[in-house]
Amino acid sequence: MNQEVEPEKRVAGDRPREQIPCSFVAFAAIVVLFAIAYFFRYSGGFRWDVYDASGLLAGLPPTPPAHGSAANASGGAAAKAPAVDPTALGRELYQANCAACHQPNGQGMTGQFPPVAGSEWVNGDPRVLTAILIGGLQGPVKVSGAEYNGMMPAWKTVLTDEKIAAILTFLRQSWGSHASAIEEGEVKAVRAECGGHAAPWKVDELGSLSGEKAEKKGE
Amino acid sequence: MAETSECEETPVRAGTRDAVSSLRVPVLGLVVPAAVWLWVASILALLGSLKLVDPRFLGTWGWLTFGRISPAAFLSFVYGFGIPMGLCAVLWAVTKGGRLPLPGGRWFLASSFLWNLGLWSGITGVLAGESRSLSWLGLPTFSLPSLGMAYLLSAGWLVAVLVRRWEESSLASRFLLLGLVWIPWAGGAAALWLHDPSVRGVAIGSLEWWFNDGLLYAGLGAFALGAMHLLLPGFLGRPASFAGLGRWAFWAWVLFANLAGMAHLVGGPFPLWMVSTGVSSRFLLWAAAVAIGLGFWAAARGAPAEGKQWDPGWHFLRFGMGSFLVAAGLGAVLVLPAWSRYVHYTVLEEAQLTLFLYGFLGMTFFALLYTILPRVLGRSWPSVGLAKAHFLLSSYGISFLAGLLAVGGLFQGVALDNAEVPIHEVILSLLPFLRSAAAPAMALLAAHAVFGLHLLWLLVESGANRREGEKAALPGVAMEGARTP
Amino acid sequence: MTEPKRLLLGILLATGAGWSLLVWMPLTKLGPAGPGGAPFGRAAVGGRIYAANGCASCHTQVVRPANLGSDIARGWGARRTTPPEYREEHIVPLGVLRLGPDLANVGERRTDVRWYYRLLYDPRTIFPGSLMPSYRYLYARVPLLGTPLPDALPLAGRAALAPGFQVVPRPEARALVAYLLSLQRVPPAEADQSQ
Repeated sequence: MNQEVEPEKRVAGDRPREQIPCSFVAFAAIVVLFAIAYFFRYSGGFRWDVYDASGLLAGLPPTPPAHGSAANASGGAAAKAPAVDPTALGRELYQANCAACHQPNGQGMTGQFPPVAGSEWVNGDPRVLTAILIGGLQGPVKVSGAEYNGMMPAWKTVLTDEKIAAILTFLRQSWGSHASAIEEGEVKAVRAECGGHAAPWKVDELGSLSGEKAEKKGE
Repeated sequence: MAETSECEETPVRAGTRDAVSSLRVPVLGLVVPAAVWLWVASILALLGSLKLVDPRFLGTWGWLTFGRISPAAFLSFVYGFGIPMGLCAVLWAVTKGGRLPLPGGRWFLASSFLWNLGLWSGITGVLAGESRSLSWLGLPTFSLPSLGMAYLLSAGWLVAVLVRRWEESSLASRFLLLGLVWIPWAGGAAALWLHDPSVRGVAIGSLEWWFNDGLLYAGLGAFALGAMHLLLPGFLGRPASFAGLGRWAFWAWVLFANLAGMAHLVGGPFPLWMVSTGVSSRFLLWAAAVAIGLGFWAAARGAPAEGKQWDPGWHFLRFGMGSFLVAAGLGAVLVLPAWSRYVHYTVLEEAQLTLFLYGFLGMTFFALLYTILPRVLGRSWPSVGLAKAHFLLSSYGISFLAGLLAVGGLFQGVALDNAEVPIHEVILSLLPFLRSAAAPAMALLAAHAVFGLHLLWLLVESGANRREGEKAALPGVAMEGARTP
Repeated sequence: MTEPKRLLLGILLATGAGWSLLVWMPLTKLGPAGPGGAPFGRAAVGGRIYAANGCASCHTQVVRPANLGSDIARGWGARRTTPPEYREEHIVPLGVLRLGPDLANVGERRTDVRWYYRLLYDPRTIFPGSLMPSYRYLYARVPLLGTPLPDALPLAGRAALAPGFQVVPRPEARALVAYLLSLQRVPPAEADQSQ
């Protein structure tokens, strides 16, 4: 029993040209493509502060236990057709992406993260709100009568327009607020307009957002 | 390269007897303690599974609490049995199957001594409560210098010899080199970092899992794959098929084994991209594993060898490769978030680990031992029956152990996912599986006992044989013989 | 460059890439330093006892998000655990297996010291049929002089001792319980606010 075939014999052509089976090629191609697609789908924008993913492959959150008929109904709707109901999709996305700071109940954390429930920013100008979500926000800001000085990351690389619209609509129509819904088209418009704004927004910049828009239209 | 191959070609046939006798001492210095560690590991594992039958068993003795013997069992298997067997495979590779003399046999003896000294102190430390609960990094600090020195002593030497006698485009040498180099690199980095007080927080978690999967895939897994490629020509008369594919698989293995560990951290406190890196790497490793398995099975089908006699090595090797493919597939599929939601932190993951450790690593290394020991000792294994018993007991033991844990893990996972079922009831529903797992654990212990007896028998017989034949029985003399031309 | 040298270089580089991506960068990006601080004193000692006795073999300290398991629904935590909550700890037992509940926030759920002492001494008095081992070796049996010590365990039935003795937790058990009580993985900001 020879342990290793002599090198020269092997090189000389003891090994006929072997055909790699088709089934293996197909399998390897599928696995490799899947791995690549998975990596880019769940890359979280390669950011150090994005922990959550949700979606079909990441596992959908379970429908919340019924607390009342209304909650039950919306939960059922979310389970059946999440894409149709922006509020249900928004709730899911909010819990996955935003609740770590703004808390599951939207109340934020005193002194650290401003509340989103009943906030004048959330219920105010939709364009400013969208710009904040797309570009992030930095520096002192006054929300619901309290001062905050923190840093909210930009979400433009992580969330699509549809998702941003769903989250914002959910924010504006939950926890007792009844502001107007935000459509995907509006988000797209804001993104096109200020997507190039690299740094997070400052509050005074946001104040001039509508003015800036007027100027750009004038050009 | 040219001049080395020239000077290595000449003694191929000349010094066979000397070459084999120069191999005897280092190989035995690795194998005999490894067999003892195998015993220790199986006894500890059995005690652990008996404690799951009844937690009050030996309950009041702190040294034998479940949380200490279960890591001790895994650690003694991996460091006591796995790594010495990997070095054994490298020894066999660098001497070209005992055809070239091995320089510096004494170093291996010294290294083996240091290694076992460090490991005894380490495992005792784990049982005494000195561990930091870091899975494969769990050996206590005081055992590390001795282990590190021992490994460097033999691995440094082996890398040098392996590179000097490099065989172009040999997959076996590649995988063995990966194992030899990865372990000190990563082990050293991990050990140093763990003792740096500024390293703290979740980075310790990612360090732990980077090392865990790296050790299993890039360290021991590479050793076992190298051993497989090393043994295959002996069984089949030809190397593994699809060598080009094998080289691709090797590079995928080098690159992604380092990243695979993060897959354990699905849902953990780590950025999404780190976890996704791990999940994707597990899939790429799976593809590489299937490529290697394909080379193996295609070669096996192309040359229906064997025939007349029941060859234990071949059976162990085949079982090992089968477990390898299943374990690699499970390792990839189970970490998908859609699955991980149910099976993460359940005993199904233990089933995968069992398959990888005992099924793939253990069985492949047994194949190595069954093949090389007769040639090193110049005597065939005394009893085919005992080898058969070893194979049957361990293959059934591993299959049932993994099967029970896998099914139990599915039940556990589904119940855990339902928040209405209290955790206490979840575990109670798992108990039947855990309790019946004690039976296959017993079978594994019996298998290793059979192997130990068989090995003892072989050693006694060959010792007697040698004493009759020549006076070269003393290890020192054998080595002197190797030195003088 | 010969083949083995190329291989060696490749292996070293690949390992280095894994190390820097998964070990070095997380250390610089995800910690340390920040409010909250590490457990200290008895709780820090208890962390070592937790590790030494392999509690992490059966208990995890990770709360997964709602879409990856029932952890939050079970009340093991209000939100998923994030890196800042482990910021300063030297022992980060994320765990491998759940043969018992998650302990990431156990200090919030259970606040009674004596409950822990009873549990560790004999888990089956609290959870009949439990798999958890008893940690009697963390306790001492001492003579009863006068009235029982305040920490003495109330033992009855089969566990009852001979008259004239009592069982009290050793320093190890006290440290372990202090560590378990300290396990409240709230974001540092919230911890500041509650103080």
